[in-house]
Amino acid sequence: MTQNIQISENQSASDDSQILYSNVAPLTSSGNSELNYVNHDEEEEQEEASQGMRPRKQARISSEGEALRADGVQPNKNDGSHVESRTEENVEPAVLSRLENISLDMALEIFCFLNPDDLLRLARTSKTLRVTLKNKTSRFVWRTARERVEGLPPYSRRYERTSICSSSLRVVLPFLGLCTKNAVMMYCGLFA
Amino acid sequence: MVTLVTSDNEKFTADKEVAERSVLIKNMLEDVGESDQPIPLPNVSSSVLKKVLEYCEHHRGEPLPAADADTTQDDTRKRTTDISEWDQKFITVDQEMLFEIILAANYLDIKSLLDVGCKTVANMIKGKTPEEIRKLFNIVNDFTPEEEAQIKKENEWAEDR
Repeated sequence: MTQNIQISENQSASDDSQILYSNVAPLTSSGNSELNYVNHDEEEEQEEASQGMRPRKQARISSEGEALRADGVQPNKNDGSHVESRTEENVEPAVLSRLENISLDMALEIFCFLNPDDLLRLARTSKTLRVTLKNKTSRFVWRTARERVEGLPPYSRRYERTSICSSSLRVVLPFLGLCTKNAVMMYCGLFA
Repeated sequence: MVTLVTSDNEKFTADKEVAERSVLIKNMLEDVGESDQPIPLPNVSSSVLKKVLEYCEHHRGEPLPAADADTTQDDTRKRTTDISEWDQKFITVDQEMLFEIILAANYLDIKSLLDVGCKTVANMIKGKTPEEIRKLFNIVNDFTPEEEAQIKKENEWAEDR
């Protein structure tokens, strides 16, 4: 369980009609809103990937995450030491998200509980998440998500071979508002 | 009783039955046999372990998933995103703690707790726009305007949401 969510270049999905997300670097932009595409060494990335649990390394932009809390979720200020241990890391104003920095396995565990349209929207939030969700290793996530939608024909390997749309899929998908080929492919977990 | 030592060197004692809801701890205890040796948990801090033990205490005695749960069982597990009332209250913590609990549940191998954590995060994502998701998890939008336009075109159907 140590594989990191930061996907290296050669793994990115290649669909010729797609934009090429070749320059996906870990999001280490520091504070300012400018985007830095830092091209990390492969080695460095692998080293990072080998550290499974490293959630503490990242500082957050809002000191206690007040704005980040889910609806209705109350803070649990149970002991001071936990907060204490974070204060010095907060000095570094790096903007790093949790979803992108937990391990890939963990992220996929979470994504398995989402619906296809949630996954599609998630894939639009950042390059890291887009590449992750389009990667072959994420295919089961789409499949699981898809199976949760009622009214869709059951997943079949046949769809992969015919690359897109058996007749039944053609009928159902427009009703779900999926009108472009890429959206349908992502919906079906056919990327990779 | 089992003694657990956290990353910040705090000692916790728990009933064997409670601690063994963690497959990691269960295996460790089996390996060392009968012994009073404290079990070091270098990846778990005291505040997180306190929560984890609270969870294990509440669910003690409940059947554990079989170690070699087959895929069909796994599929059923994944299909529902319902969380029981007690679990929901239990997991009502700030985001930092939520992710710490998920990581700890993964490390300690407590499948049911891992599920509760993952479902909670998933429920936070559900129905949100990309921008709302970014805000929620501090995700930096690193698409170029051209890329974003392209993606938007692909996903036009979802734009109003």
